Amino acid sequence: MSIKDIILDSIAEGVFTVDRDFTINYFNRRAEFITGISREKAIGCKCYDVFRVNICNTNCALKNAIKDDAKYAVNNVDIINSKGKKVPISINASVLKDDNGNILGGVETFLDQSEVSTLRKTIKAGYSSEDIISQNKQIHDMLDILPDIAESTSTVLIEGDSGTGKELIARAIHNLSGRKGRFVAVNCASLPESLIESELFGYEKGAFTDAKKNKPGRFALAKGGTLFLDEIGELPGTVQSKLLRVLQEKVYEPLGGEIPIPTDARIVSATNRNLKQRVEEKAFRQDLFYRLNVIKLLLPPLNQRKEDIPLLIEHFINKMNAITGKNIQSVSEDALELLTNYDYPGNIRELENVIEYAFVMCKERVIEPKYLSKDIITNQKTVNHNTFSEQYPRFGLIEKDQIVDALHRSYGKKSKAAELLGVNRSTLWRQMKKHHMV
Amino acid sequence: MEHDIKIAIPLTGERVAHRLDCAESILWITFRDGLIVYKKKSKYPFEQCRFSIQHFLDYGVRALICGALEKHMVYKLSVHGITVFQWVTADADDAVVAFQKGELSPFMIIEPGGRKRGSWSGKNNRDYDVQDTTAIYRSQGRGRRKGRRGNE
Repeated sequence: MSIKDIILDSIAEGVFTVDRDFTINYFNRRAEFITGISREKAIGCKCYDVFRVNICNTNCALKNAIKDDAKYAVNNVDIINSKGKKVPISINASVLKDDNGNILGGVETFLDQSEVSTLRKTIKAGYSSEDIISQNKQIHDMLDILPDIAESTSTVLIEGDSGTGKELIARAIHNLSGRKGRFVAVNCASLPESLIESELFGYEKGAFTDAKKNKPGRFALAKGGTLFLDEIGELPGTVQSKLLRVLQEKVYEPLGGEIPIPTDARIVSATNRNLKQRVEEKAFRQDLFYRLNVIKLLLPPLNQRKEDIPLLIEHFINKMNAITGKNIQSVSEDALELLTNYDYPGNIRELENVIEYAFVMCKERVIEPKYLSKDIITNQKTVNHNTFSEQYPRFGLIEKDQIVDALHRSYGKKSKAAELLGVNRSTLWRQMKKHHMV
Repeated sequence: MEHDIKIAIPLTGERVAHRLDCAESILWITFRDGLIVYKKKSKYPFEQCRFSIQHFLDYGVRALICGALEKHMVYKLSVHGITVFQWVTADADDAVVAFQKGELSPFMIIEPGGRKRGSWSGKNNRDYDVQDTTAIYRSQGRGRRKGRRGNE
């Protein structure tokens, strides 16, 4: 290896060079890491086949650099790497010439901006439906209709256990809606009953003893935007009737105010309680329930979408790497099994906390079981593989649902699914064929 | 027709587009009994990937031959029953021929003229093989049979 190669392999930027036909003739180590393509495969290929940037067709930096004999810098572009991950990058491209000034091709350097992008997203909470990580059909069915829901002005009620990502969905609806106003979140359970009315609707100067100046409420702050009412089931009865009026008349009155103020805030509410049951118990107004329940989204708990656990773990590892500056690569197979067998009463929020704990404890690049919290180790759901396979007949036709279940549990690995079903791989294949699954 | 197999190929020029979301046009093909009975190129009609899925579902697409796409899109298409041949690097015609023969697989690189050059896939990409992606065509009794199927 030449000194030049050692130097280029040591830098933090991806570097590749092309000839005049855009065929890659050099590819450094960092470029391998960012694209997920080895240099053996990359060299000799066209750059657009390896380096799948979103501007290849329209505004190729290398093409421009070679054409104009100039340097080009492009920010805010992305590539899709071989692992199917969109990687935000910034690009610099220059022309390469020989000693006589003849153009040989071009050189492109690129910097992975994933960490900056993750941090920016975390700070701004600028989530879209693409940030909702799942391979669960129920979630995907919901995501498919999310843009249509976002475009409408109807009220949305999101039901789901605590920690299932209700606020993330609400933020995604807001960000997809194109509404120019703010996303304002209110947790109805966290505010005392005496304060919630003034928090929501604001108050006028002199409304009560300490009201020395006008204070805008959350409805005013959410003008032109979205008002997210979390834990709506906890809203006191007096405020329920006021909220109903706002939903019906699209106007509200601040405390002590006389003039109704129009509002165009879009209402998205969420609850971890069964709101219909609360209506039957007379704890929640029926008319308000129907007003809020125009579009209902139901988020399944994490223990009903276990196939998402590996994806979520990967996501949280990337996020924590960006925040902490650590470089943890993955979780070990044993740790993954423990994490998958846990029941997560706190849902995704709990999983995130589990990963955060492991990050604090982990001194290696792979999270091993010893770095997991005691809760995970001690509260394992007893998944006995033998018991599981005994549920299924060893002979005859295996039901399609059982195969799907086994494939889900084994994350699509047919050999593992066959093991769970207590049959060999070829039998599983045959049964899948009988059910027209292949 | 029940036995029709419909596929879609996002294109850049005459090649499989390097990215699903950056295609210029889209090639819609219907196979019946191993023969192409419908082939139409239309302008790439979407700006957001979600529209593409609905569009593909409306047309009854069973397989998508495309370049790079995000993992979540692969899952999304898969849960809707669309088999994804991703990261295919080839001229569209060569990809269609490989598909007809049951030889196409994700990450495949096909040189102009149809000769298979190799694959982008490495051990890290195994998790993409969620479905046996050549099975669609073989299930219709077409294409080359190989591997353990002979023993079953």
